[in-house]
Amino acid sequence: MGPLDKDVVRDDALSATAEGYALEIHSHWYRALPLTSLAVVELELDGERIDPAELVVEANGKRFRFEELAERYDEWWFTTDPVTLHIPAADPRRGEHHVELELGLRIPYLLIGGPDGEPLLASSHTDKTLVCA
Amino acid sequence: MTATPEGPPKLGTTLFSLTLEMRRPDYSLERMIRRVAELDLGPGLEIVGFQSIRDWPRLSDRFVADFRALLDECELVPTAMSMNLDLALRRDRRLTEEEALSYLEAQMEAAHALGFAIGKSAILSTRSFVEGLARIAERLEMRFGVEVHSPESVDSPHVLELRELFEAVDCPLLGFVPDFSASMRSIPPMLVEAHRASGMPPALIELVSEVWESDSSMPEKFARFAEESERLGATPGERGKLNMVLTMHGRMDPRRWEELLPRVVHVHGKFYGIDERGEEPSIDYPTIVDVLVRGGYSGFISSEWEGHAYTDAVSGWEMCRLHHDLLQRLIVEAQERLVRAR
Repeated sequence: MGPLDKDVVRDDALSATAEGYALEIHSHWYRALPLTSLAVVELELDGERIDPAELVVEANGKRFRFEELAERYDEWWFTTDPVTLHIPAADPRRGEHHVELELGLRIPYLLIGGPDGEPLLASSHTDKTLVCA
Repeated sequence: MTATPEGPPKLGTTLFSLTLEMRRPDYSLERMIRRVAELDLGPGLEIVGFQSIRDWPRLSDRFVADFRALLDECELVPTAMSMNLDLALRRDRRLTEEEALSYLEAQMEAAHALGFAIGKSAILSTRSFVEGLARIAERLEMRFGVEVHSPESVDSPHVLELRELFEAVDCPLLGFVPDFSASMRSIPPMLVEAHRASGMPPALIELVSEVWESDSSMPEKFARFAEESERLGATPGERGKLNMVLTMHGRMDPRRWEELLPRVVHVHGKFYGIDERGEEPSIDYPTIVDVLVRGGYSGFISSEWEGHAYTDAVSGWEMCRLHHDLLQRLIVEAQERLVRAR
């Protein structure tokens, strides 16, 4: 419900590429987070679920498979930078697309119930129709 | 004559208040700092390292030199550097105590290079960690504070544990940063409004307000809210959001900050909104400022507007300006009361 949630997927976030689609996302957390925090990316494009294992995640000009993020505690997602989700598609279409995204950020300093607890999972939900450039 | 030979509390701003302004694509730390000076929101400047500084805590020599020159030019004083202890940085395990200390040490060194006198973060409450922290603070000649933020209070178990440890380790550089979220008189009206606007059922908002105002412990409040909200048919999402209302806003008597004052290294002037009379409706600032002035606190109060978590309809800059006006007026009034009492 916060103002940063509105900005996770901006109106011009979707574009067609040689490999499929590219969706730029922005963090809904106020500070930079390590890429290990990018824990949940549940994405539906035009009603079809995208398996996170198929995603290539681009941050700081580097590309990672989604599972690789679990080890990238040395790479940071700065507050003003987008992270790009590359979604493979044989024949990407321009024009209107429906995007539904559940983004879950694992907050590394907020551990529920003390230092031995699990990190808070801060979720942000987006449900938008975008025009693909 | 005042009870404060070093003078009354000094004002400042944390850039955290400008969270939304810092998200614009053309964000620059330099422009933010210049604006703080232009709007007379100093002299104190607090920054959240991981929020405002790219690659924090790794700083180039050039960045450090430019930052120091800019603050000199703007006549601002670097007060507290807000740091984070990312114990769950890795997915496979938590940081060890030694790694956690190094993680904070790197941030203390960066803060020191930028000229900050105080570091602020959560810490591990073990004797060996606190001893290690004391060594870092002594080496860098900096103070270090743990924030006392809702749901913590001056006598919550974690804070009591730290108070005992700080006494045992006997390092005067270690202390606390009171955050007024812990001592509120009501749930912020703007938060209630935001929940209403997002479609939260009014009966649930009434329930959470009633539970919040009741005289019972935090666990009792959570239990009562869980039980009664379920009866009212709240969804898990609604319950989660309203649980946050109970977590993020404490109802401690603001006079109780007094007992922490000897260990206070910095203050977070948390606020959510300023009404048309220039008052913070949800926080008893007259009493809080009275406690600080009477108790001889002469450090900085950072204006910390948190309303940006709920609305983008107002400007963080304008809110901080109104908050400074409120603090300035209350400090003068509290000093006058002190003089009259003699």
